[in-house]
Amino acid sequence: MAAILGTLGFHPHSLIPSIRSNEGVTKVVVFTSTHPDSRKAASIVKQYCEQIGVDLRTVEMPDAFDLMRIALSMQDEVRRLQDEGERISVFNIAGGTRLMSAAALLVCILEGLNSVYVHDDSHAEIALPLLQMKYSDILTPVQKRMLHFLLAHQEGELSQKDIAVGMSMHKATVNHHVKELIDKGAISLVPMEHDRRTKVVRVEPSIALLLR
Amino acid sequence: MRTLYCTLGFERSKVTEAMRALGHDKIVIVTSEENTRSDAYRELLEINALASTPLETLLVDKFDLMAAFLALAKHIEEAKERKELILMNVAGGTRALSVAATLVAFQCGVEAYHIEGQVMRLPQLNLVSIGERLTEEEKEVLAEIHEATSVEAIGRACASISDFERRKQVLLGLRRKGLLTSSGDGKGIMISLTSLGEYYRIAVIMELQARS
Repeated sequence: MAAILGTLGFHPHSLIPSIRSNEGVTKVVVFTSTHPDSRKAASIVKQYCEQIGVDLRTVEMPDAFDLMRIALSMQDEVRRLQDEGERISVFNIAGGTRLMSAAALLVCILEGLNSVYVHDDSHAEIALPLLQMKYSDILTPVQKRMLHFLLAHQEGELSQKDIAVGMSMHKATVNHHVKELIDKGAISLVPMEHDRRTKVVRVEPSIALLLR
Repeated sequence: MRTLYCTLGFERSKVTEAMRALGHDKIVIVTSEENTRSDAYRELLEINALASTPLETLLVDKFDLMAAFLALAKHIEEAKERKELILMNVAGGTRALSVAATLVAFQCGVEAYHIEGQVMRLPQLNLVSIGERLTEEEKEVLAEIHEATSVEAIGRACASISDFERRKQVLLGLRRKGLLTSSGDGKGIMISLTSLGEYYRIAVIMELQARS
């Protein structure tokens, strides 16, 4: 019993080789866009799956260029399958927009899934070199708390002083963690809109995904 | 020095958009030999000559994802050793080339973008170098595995892991990470690298060489 996930664009043959070559596939989850050609490709994959008795679920992305929403949706689907006790054999990232592929790669790294690409001409599967990375492992408890605080206050423009007050921390401690979080690619310092001399802390949009 | 890597196919605009959006001191065009005969490539040379921007071309096989990945990863690791700040736009070129560049960005912690009409920053997975994902013992063993290596030969080569049980645990750890496979021929156990393992072996050897 195994599930296969895949991004799908206009060409069903970017995904079908993975369904064919993996053993014991019982479920396929396809991430696709609302484009008519993508829907057509999804219907061909569905026909193939029906013929060989494999269950297919199609997840349509309202915006095939919104990397973060796509990645969150994929991560939800992966976790739902895992909660149901499914073993995910492989995530095929060969189809769909490039940002759909990028989102799938990211989810594979974060969730520790095997990832494959299908060669355009030979249709051979190529295993991609990924090792799992739990982003939260490189953060200290204080840094995680600070990122959650920043995510909860994304609407406001928070300076390091505001963070120190809001989190009841010493300003020097906040400065230290802000510097480390910049090095870890989690936040950046940008000039305040109405006072360019003051810098505010901006949390990277991807942190919501990486911290989950 | 800020070095901007751009994957290029036949559309010049995907590189010029990145040049406009991202400050840079040097450009590396990642493309195939065929594409260097295109108008897009010739025009990019002319544009950068106007600004005296140093331009380097990294030639790759645009349909061979793994070969492009390895060439680009090696080039970027070398640039990082020269303390260059790396930026990358993954929007241009074939899909295989774009996916290879995205993979490098995630695996090497590069600040990467998909710039095509709008500037979209990909999540940056900093501090996740190869060295941080493998133990010192795993690196030592990985560096000693050639095409097919016996367990005894690994034992002789890895002087610091003299204990058989410890060596076995290291090998099992590498197998769990998908880096090697083992097979028995009646005389002994032979260890071989997977394609993922081959990539990490190169990366580990580069890291060990850089240290010495």
